[in-house]
Amino acid sequence: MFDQYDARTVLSAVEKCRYCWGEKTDIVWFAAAIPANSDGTQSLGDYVCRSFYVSGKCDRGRLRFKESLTRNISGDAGFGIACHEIGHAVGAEHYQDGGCMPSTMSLDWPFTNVLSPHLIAHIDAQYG
Amino acid sequence: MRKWIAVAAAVLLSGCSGTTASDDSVAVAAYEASSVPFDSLEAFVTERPVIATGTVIAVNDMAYEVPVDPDAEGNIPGEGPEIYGSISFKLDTVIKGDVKPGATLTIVYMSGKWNKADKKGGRLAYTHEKLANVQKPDSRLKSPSELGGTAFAIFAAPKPATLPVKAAGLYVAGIATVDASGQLIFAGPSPFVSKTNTAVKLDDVKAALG
Repeated sequence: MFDQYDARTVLSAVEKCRYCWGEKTDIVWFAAAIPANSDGTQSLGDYVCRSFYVSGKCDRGRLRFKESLTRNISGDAGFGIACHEIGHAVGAEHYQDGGCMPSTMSLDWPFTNVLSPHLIAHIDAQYG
Repeated sequence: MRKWIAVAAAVLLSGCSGTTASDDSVAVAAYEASSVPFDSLEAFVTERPVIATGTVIAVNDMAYEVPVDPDAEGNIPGEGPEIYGSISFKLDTVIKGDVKPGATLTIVYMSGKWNKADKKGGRLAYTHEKLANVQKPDSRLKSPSELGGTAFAIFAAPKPATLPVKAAGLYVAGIATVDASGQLIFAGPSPFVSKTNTAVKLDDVKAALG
């Protein structure tokens, strides 16, 4: 995958249109009215597996961006959120290494919009 | 608004194929939610209607089931119901809110999802970073005896209307263990930014309320 997020991984991606996903869809993503987290903190997005194979691996994941916040995002912050949530979708956990996977996020923080080389190496090892 | 946010899309990753899960299989997956912390402890406690301490007296990983709307964005026909778990605390002290010491306060969280609508094909069980102090790595909740009377600080709010569980009187909350010195230990990222960069104690919570 080498796309607008500048992530150089072995993954390939094909985007489909709304409501046209099928049996081979791995990730569904869209903007939504995501409620606050249980502790009251705002969530810019979330990722969760919605169905799985007998192997225990995720078959289809759902990735959401908080619509009310992402509409007002400027600069690279939006790409940073996309990088973060897609990172989860391909198996990355929160990781404080300067990439796009910090455990906490902020619209004010100029966090990077790319995965770190460390996480890219893990993804390539998993899927390559 | 950027096109990639406005348009719902499905991403096809390479190598997708698989078989159907068996009826009794449980797959554990992390529920990954980004978190934008409050600017300060004061902002956090102001936002929370109920703040109390207590101990866990009952847990249920699968307390409620809610069918998913097949027409909702991101869902597909045949999806299984979502599962919600509950954690009940007996309150010891009440710092803020219309609850009484000795009362039971029950919080709910999304604990999983059946793979299919007929509940055949197993279920997913979610782990939550911020519940790691009450949840085992396999997603099951620690029992009250396993928790051994651990004191918790509970920062709660009544269950929002957006949470589809129908039962009344439920809450959602952020929780922290309270150690012998009164220090709060949140699992996962703290819900607020500490200006002093020091550990926050229960007394700090009381002081922040003014």
